[in-house]
Amino acid sequence: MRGIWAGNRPRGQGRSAKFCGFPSAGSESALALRSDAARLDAAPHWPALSSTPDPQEPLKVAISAYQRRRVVQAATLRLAETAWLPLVAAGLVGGTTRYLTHPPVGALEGVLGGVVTGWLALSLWRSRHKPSATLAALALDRQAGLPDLTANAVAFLAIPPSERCPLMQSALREARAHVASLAPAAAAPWPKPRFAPLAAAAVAGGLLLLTPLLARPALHASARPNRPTSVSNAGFTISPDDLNLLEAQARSWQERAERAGLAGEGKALRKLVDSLRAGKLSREAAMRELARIAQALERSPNEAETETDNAVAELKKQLERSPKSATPALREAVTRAAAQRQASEQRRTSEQRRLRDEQDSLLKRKRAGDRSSNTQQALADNQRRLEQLTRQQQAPKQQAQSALDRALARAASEVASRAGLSQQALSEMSDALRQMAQKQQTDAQKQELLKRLEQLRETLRQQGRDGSQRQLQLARFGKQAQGKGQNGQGKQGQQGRGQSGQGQDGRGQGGPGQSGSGLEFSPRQSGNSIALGRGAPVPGGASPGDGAGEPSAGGLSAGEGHDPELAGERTSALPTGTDLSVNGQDTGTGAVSPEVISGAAAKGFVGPAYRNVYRSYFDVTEAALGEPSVPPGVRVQVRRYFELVRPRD
Amino acid sequence: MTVSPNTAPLDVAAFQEQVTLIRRELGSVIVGQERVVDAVLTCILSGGHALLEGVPGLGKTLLVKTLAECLGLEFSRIQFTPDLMPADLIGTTVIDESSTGGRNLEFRPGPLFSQIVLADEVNRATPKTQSAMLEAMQEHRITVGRQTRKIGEPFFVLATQNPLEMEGTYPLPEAQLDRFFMKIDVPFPSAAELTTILERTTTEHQPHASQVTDAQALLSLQSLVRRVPVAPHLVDYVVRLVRATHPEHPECPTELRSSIRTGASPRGAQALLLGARVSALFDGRSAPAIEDVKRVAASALRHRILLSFEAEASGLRCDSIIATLLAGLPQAL
Repeated sequence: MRGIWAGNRPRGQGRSAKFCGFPSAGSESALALRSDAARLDAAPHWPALSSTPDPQEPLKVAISAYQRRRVVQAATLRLAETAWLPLVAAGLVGGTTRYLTHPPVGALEGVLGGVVTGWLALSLWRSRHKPSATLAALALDRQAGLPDLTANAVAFLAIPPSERCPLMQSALREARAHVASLAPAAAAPWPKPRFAPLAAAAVAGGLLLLTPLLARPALHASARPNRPTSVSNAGFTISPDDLNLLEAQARSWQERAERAGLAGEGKALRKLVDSLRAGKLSREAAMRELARIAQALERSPNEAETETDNAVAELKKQLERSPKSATPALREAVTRAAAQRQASEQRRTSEQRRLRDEQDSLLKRKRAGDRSSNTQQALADNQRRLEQLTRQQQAPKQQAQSALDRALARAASEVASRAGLSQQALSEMSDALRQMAQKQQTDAQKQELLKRLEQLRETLRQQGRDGSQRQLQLARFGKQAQGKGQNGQGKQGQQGRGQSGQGQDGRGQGGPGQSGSGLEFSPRQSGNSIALGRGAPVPGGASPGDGAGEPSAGGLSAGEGHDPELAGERTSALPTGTDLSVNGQDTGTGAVSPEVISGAAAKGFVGPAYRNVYRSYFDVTEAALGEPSVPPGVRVQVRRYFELVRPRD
Repeated sequence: MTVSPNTAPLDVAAFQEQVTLIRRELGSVIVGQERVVDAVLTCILSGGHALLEGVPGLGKTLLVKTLAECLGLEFSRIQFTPDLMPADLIGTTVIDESSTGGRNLEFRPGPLFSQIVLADEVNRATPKTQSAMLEAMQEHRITVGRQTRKIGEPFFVLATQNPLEMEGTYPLPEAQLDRFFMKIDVPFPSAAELTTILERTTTEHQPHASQVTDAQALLSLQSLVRRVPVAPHLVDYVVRLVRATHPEHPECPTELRSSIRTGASPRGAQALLLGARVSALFDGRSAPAIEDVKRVAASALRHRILLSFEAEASGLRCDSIIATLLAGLPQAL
């Protein structure tokens, strides 16, 4: 049995009896006490209710209820503390599912399930430790206002009934008499966690952050509406992903085709997709329809523009990479675009002429009485083709009406004008850029192009400002352009020091610029300009900034620095005074020697000086206390005083 | 472990009845001072000694005299003075000449050979004389010459000292202080108590206490106290409390480490546990509680904790340190 019982055990019998029997030998008691203390430390939960013979013991019932309640509270609080973990996991999985084109939904759901399961298991596992029976009994006693009756009873219940002394039985009776007053629910109230407001705010904030994330339409939402099941058509099955992809492509084609005069093919493709989704088409019919749409697309007159598109796209890439290296390409692309544009116009005109001639001949045959279906079909095809060609000629004008295209054109025009392009080059470049913009697949790409042009335009606009900014801009764009022209070399002014009180505010001085071939930035006499030309050297000029580059006596503004030695010499921490020793006559009984004890600080009376003084004074005092004239009571007091003021280690 | 059935005739109810009688009889003479009376009774029932500290005139001597009358014990009073010698306490061997002319050495026991010894103003005797009581207080025996003589049970020393008149006194050394089970502060009586004191002591009628028990009954009470079972959590609490008074132990709060020079000895732990047992019996309970330990902690520990110079200089008292320890110590681990 663990524990220490006085009981009726004879004195000195066993270690526990030694401890509670209070033997006269203090050292023995000390040893017993310390060994018991060590044992108590090693086993903090001695009483075990498992040895209680009666499982229906009312005390045990109350204690078990308290323990269960504490375990539930601990588990709940732990779950609440770590609730952010499944929330974050759910947010990540939800976001990933929505924003990935082909999300591994099964794997993500598995990960989410694993995280939630692990979180639950870990939280419950860490909350499994119930409070000891002693702690539970003490808590019940405190709540009921009982003087450890239950706690003592728990300890005594662990002893077999035959070994319980009468006082233990009496203690158990006392505890059972008060068991009705034990209230486990009141003894273990639900704690109000200190972090509750913070946790609530965190959860609310997390939900606010996650809600728009999850509510935002996914990029591929149109391609995967509600994850439909496979569609079975006559004779074959098409997967929903393929169907969605086809539908998206049809929508894109239709949008492009309306500009390119191929609206019919786009609509046909959408119609095909709808038929496939409805399961109305057979495999052969679907293939036939696809072949017809492909044939119609192959007949589209945009082959020439495709080359232009490619060239313009290449030009755009080069412009993004390096304006300088893009200059010849731009020139070449503009030239090529103009030639291709002319050729395309000629092809359209000749095609129109051929179609009109063919239309006339067909009309003549019709008037002559030819009512065959071939003639009717050919007439309809010719009519549709003519309408397409007419729309293609009118398409640029219509597209230029959009605000975005107008902005693009304006930006391109400004860039070109500042770059010194001729009116013809301006027109060709504007045309090429507009074509480039028109052929962009999405408005987002247009916006990106517009943004880049706006940046370039803003950069050029900055050239009209003051010299220093212009100089900085020139330096930056010069680096970007890596042109052959020399950038202005400004001498960086030095910040004045506070020691002299005179600030020196130097400004950079523009150096001579030399324009090279290609697109480059160089300072010129009239400021700065962008030269886009044949590479003829432009005489650069010194462009002084607002301030002289040479250090002058005092700037326009106060200096910002200060003297590092502003505070002067640091005051020495060492005491400057000297110890005082004065000899004088006090009352005629002898010389008095006041002495300042350095180091006798308020804290602890430490220091070698004080130690030396104390030793000498203590010796003198001891010698004086040995004299019979000193009263005995005073001696103790004096010794006590010196004991108290002795130097501490 | 085998515990034999209890055969003692006394139980908790009988203990309470006896104590009630003693209290009532003491109360007929001593006005108020219930806490002091309970502390003194705790010391007697635990088999320890008490050190009463208070200003003159608070009834310390009267309390001890009345207690001796109530308990029917042999009482002796020693007024400690600087010239008091050890032999004056423990006795001396004298040459006794018989009527036949023969001479033999005879031991004349001193006042310590009594059951209740009042050591009045114990701090006025020299340390040499004070040390003469050490053996008697701890081991209840006295060695004179080559002979060791036992003191009759029960033996109870109740010493008094005056905290104000330090001139010509010899403060008790730590070893002697540790022998006292409790150091009891005697407070000044309240206004109502003072009024009653005046009414009782300024008339012709002098209050007188009668004997309500005897030495054998007192020994039975002391035996019952030692049979009171103690739960392990209470022993653990006492151990942690005593260890917390030692600045070198981790249980000691950081803020108190610089204030304590030396902590309580194991006798302090013994006093705590025995005092808690008596306190539980006073309340009619069969086992002590943590509250009982707290109730006796100040009296049992205040003379066993030595303050550092910094604490004394700042006016810190042992009672406040003990209160801090009790407030911060968890009741169970």
